[in-house]
Amino acid sequence: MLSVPVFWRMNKEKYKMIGKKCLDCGLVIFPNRKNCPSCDSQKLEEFGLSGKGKIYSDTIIRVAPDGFEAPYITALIKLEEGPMIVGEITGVDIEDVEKNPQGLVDKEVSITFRKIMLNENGLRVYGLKFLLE
Amino acid sequence: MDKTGIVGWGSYVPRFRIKIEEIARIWGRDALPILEGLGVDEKAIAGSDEDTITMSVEAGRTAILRAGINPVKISALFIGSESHPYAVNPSSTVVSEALGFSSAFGNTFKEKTIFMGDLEFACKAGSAGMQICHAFVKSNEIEYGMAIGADTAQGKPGDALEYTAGSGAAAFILGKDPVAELEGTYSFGTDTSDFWRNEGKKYPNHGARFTGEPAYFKHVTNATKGLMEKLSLGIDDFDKVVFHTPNAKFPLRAAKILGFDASKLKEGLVVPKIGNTYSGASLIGLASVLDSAKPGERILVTSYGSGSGSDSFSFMITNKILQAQKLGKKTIDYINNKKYVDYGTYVKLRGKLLRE
Ligand SMILES: [Zn+2]
Repeated sequence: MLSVPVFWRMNKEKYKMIGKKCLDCGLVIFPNRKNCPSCDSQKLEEFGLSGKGKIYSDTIIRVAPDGFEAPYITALIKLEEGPMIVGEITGVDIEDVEKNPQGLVDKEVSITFRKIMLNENGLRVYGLKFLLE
Repeated sequence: MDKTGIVGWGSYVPRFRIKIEEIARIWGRDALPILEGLGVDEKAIAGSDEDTITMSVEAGRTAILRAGINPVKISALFIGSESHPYAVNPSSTVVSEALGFSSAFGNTFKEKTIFMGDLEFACKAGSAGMQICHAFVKSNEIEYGMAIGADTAQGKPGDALEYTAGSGAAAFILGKDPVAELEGTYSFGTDTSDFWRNEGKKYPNHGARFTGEPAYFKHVTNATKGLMEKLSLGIDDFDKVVFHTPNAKFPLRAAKILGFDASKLKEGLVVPKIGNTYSGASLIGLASVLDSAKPGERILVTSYGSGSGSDSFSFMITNKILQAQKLGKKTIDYINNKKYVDYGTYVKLRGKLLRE
């Protein structure tokens, strides 16, 4: 479980989808890293992502870790700018997703601001989830 | 003097709905007189991952999009709500951070001044935030300020309020070169306790029938009359009218008392489909009117907050609104995107909130 200060330091990524862009090779990096995973350059500048992407794969989580409420849908999302990230899908009915053997694959998504979890101290952790377009 | 007023607006309504009939069924009540008495068919309920903070962020994002400004230019944020998620720990700091007011993009730790506050004055705290932001803008203290009214209202199970207490938010950016010029504002308040909630209590108490004449009608009509007198305007000068909506009947009766034609309330009267969104109510009504307002139209808005007070505003729509109306989700889009839930699911959604 991440501590309160760790969450606070990650506010920029959690709230706004601000990553980095490599000034040497142009790769968009999210979440943040110190070096470019493609060319190892350290010349990176802040870059705001659009928050739009496409679902690559998804799964229904039925046994949730502490602070989360099951069932919910977690997906691998290919962002418009390139990076692949893990995100929660909200605003869909689990029953509808279960019925479709394809799940939510290839569906277009965009970010929405939601409550992510309740930590052990009763602090609400907010951040970005994804909604179907 | 430059014109000042609303430069961007946005609303948010969660997608869950419960029908009034379903609530009446659970309590063994005949639905028809309730439906007729309130004029409300269904109400919006926040999902388990939504609250005043998340709805404020969503409404605020649309307002920024329509204003077409960089959010770091916004230097004030006032959120009016009866359901700030924390008793101690502000909503405004989270919303400001999420909307990108605090640090300039590209300058991670560059601090700037942001005037912030979580406001409470029953259902009129959001409109009070608009008055504060407008005063900051007019005095050139800030370039832009955002006011939000948001609530995830709850009534005690089985209480009359349970039929209407809904969820939603609306956000407005105040600044120069507006889409809706704020021509003037007037407030009226007296010590009239018609509705209250004690510290640590989950649900409010109310004076039942007392909430009508000495409270809602007295304050809404006096504030509206005061505004018209202040600005030398009459009822015929207004094209659209928005009054606070504890239900669909009260605003129509207030209109009748003042002499406004009921048709002028139509665009702003969203309460039959989303319920009473408390601090969000008159502001979502205004957002709904702005979604389709035409340049040259004059709009009257009068909020009401128990305890009691009303803030009245006159807005003149400018040509700038046409461009902004093409952007972002409209209030009607949110109203139409809905999933009905039964009372059991409603309790589960609310129960999750209770556990916190
Ligand atoms: Zn690189």
